[in-house]
Amino acid sequence: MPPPRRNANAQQPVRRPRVAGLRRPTAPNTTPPSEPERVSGQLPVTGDAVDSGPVDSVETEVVAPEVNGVEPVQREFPKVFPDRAPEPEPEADVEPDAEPEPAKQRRPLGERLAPAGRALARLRPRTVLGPIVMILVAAVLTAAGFLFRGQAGLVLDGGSAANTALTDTGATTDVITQVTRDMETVSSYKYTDLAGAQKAGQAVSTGGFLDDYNKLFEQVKAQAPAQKAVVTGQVAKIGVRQLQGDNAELLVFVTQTTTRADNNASNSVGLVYTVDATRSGGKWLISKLTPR
Amino acid sequence: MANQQTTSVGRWQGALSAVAAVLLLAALIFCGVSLVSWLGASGDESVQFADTRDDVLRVGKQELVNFYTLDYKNPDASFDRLVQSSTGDLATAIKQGEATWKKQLTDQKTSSTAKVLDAAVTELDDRAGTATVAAIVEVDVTPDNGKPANRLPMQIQLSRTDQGWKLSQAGSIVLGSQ
Repeated sequence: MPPPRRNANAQQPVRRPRVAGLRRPTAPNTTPPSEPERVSGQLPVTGDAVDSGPVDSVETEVVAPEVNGVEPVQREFPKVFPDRAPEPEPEADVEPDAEPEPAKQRRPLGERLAPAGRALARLRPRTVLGPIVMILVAAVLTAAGFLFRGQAGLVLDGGSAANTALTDTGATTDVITQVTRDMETVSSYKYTDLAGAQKAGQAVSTGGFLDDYNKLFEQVKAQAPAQKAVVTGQVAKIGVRQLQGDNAELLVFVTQTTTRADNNASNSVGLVYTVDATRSGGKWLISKLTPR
Repeated sequence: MANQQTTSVGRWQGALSAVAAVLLLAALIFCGVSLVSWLGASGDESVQFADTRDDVLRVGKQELVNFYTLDYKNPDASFDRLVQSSTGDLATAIKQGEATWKKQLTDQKTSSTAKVLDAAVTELDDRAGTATVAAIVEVDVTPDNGKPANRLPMQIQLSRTDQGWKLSQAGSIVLGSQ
């Protein structure tokens, strides 16, 4: 890339007046010696403008003027003003306004206010009002964004979707399988091994139901040995009504068959429970049993 | 003076515009992302499935209530409720037995109301439009003649029709042997 620039030296006089105006003292004289120096390649990299390269490059001041050069540009602004005209144009719109505004304070005269008002009217829509409208629109969009997020959250967590019964087939199967086993465990015992039955029942119970179960089993321990009772609970039907994380509510239909060896009697009864289950350590446990 | 003010005002306005533009862009992106997440959530298959499940449960419970809410003084209305709640073979069977059914209801001189104590959808096939609901229904008969309310373990099947979910089968869950 650098070689083409060197070849373009012939064109540099055309550019020079613009930049040379800014750095008159050094630029014209140093231009020829600067050519070899530029081999370092620093200038094309650091300086944005292609023109500034050859002009700036006094051996030692190669880097520093680049940076400091910003100030001189502004100081000598008026001289180059014609060239710069396209840039300040938007600012030029403000000029008539900026003058009348102080005028308002210094001389509060009606005749001064009219052009000021006109200028303000011109100023606001283009400059101040623009950003304000943008910020307002941004605020509205942000509010709408939060609304949409809220709606999304509502759909996912607050509505019917929060209940993953049947929608999460894996978790549904899991809770059904385990609570079926839990219910059959707590509704079954043999008079020959009541301690074992109670231990098994306690293992699948938690919270309030654990106390209930222990109380119930005291009755069993009082009666079962004399009756020589063998009780088997079997889940006939089970459905998950509510499943949310580690909590579930199920409707369980149980057939409980009791066989008594003391009088060789056997009967079975239907029991329907609403079961609250809690998952703890990956295992679903019965936390509440409501007879229906 | 004028120039300096102009440039400072210009700079200030430029900065304001830039900040406003950045804010606007950020807000636009945030709004768009939120909208997409909402639409995505609403269109989510499992969300729709969950809606269907809740729909089935609600309708199933109502139809069980309709089925056991009988007024012997007004057999026509009771019968119409049955027909309205059912579809398919069940509806056909109910319509065929209309005369006998109404006569029985009138003769037994008892009315009943029903309440679903608990119910759960046990199966749901959204594509086939079929579902099964298990429920425990309490039926209060009046006059009760001293008998306690009946508790019926029920299993019903529902099918999707143009008028929503309707009963296509109803039966009790057999528990125990008594």
